Amino acid sequence: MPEKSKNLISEFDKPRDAAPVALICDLELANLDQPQHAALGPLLWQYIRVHRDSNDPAVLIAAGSAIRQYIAALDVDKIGSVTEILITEGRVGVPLEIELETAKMVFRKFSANPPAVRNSEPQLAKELAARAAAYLDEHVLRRGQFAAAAMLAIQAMVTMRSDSINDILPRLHASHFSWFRGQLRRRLEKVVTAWRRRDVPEDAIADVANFINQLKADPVEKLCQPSA
Amino acid sequence: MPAQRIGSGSVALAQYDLVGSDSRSVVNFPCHAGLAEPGTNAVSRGERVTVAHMGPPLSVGGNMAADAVGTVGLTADEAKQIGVFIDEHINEHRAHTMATPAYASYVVRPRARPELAADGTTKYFRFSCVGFAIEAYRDAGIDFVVTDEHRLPTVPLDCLIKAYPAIPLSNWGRLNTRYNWGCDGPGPWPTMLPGYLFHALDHFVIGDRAAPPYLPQLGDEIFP
Repeated sequence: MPEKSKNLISEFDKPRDAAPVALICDLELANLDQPQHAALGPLLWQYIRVHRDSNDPAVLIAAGSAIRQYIAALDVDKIGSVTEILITEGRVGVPLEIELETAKMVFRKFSANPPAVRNSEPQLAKELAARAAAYLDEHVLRRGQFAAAAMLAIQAMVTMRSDSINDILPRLHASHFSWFRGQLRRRLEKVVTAWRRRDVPEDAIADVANFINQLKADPVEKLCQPSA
Repeated sequence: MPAQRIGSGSVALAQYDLVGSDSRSVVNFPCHAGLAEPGTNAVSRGERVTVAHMGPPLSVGGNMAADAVGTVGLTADEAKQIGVFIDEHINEHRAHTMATPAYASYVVRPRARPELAADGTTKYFRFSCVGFAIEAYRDAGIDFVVTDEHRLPTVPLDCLIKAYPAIPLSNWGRLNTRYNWGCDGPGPWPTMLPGYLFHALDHFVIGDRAAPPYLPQLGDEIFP
């Protein structure tokens, strides 16, 4: 398998006109060793930068695969670099699929590597908060993959212990989407359970647990009111 | 009735109700399960219905024959939560559809398995067809079947071969493939089978989300 993986990486590195969609997806399923991950990282990053705005759905799927591979192998201390994927400056916008995969992998990275301190990645948190705020609208949240993107962005912000989550909380309370809060709560409770099993420092667990409690503190009467 | 085999008449079907397809070689042996997508309100035996399912690959808008159906009486809110679960995972599997082999992100046991990076970060999830359905319901707060492998009946290889009629027999002889699916060694293995879900739903009390999940019993692979 390592030899096959080596060939895949060599193939990826060849100059070409079209995006190597199948090759990227093959790489996601390959067993790579540490040196291979190191060789692949810059290639994936280049692929993400070039193709994250593609109009071709298949290329976007492959860009999502590249994001998963890149962030999975990335040292948590360097996670701030992925903020660039979400920055819209000079671009029309970031495709929803790309936002979703990025938020999901940031959540998974911090879920596996709980941060020792709060607010370690303020720029990344700011970008995630912007997505969550935009998608926590009753007319938006019910469509397409917006709910999943918002859910994962909030999960990422909570597990990275960002204070930006405090800007989102009022929107969560104002929304009459109790189903969204309920699912978010269950997902974060699983994080707390997993962190307790791993002896993660109590202050990190307390931050997540505190957020869950704030979700629970939502006034019941608000659930029945139509949103403004 | 929360779970039933489709008889001579048609049966009502709601969004994300469980749909089962029978094996062609064994009577009343569901060998595949999926979640009904909106648009089909009633289904007759053997009729193909649109589903979200771990084919493989994981897909929405696919279809499968319906021989049995089950429901937990999902609320609209719970259905939205299942939608979020599907949206979270679907692009991982769309990518794997473009890769080879087709079964690469499938797993027989355990029913759902994260593939981890060196630091423990989940890269993507692999599912069996029942695993996908079970985890989708659990993400919506509904836990109707026990999946603890220490408590499940064990399934021998010949039964697994019947449960996966689409897989060429030669694949079961490949040790690497079996290892990858979680079926290394001679077996038998504690494996979730589609029939277990229909028995579990048959015991399910709609409206009682706090009821303890059903523990599958030996013989539950058959759903008469």
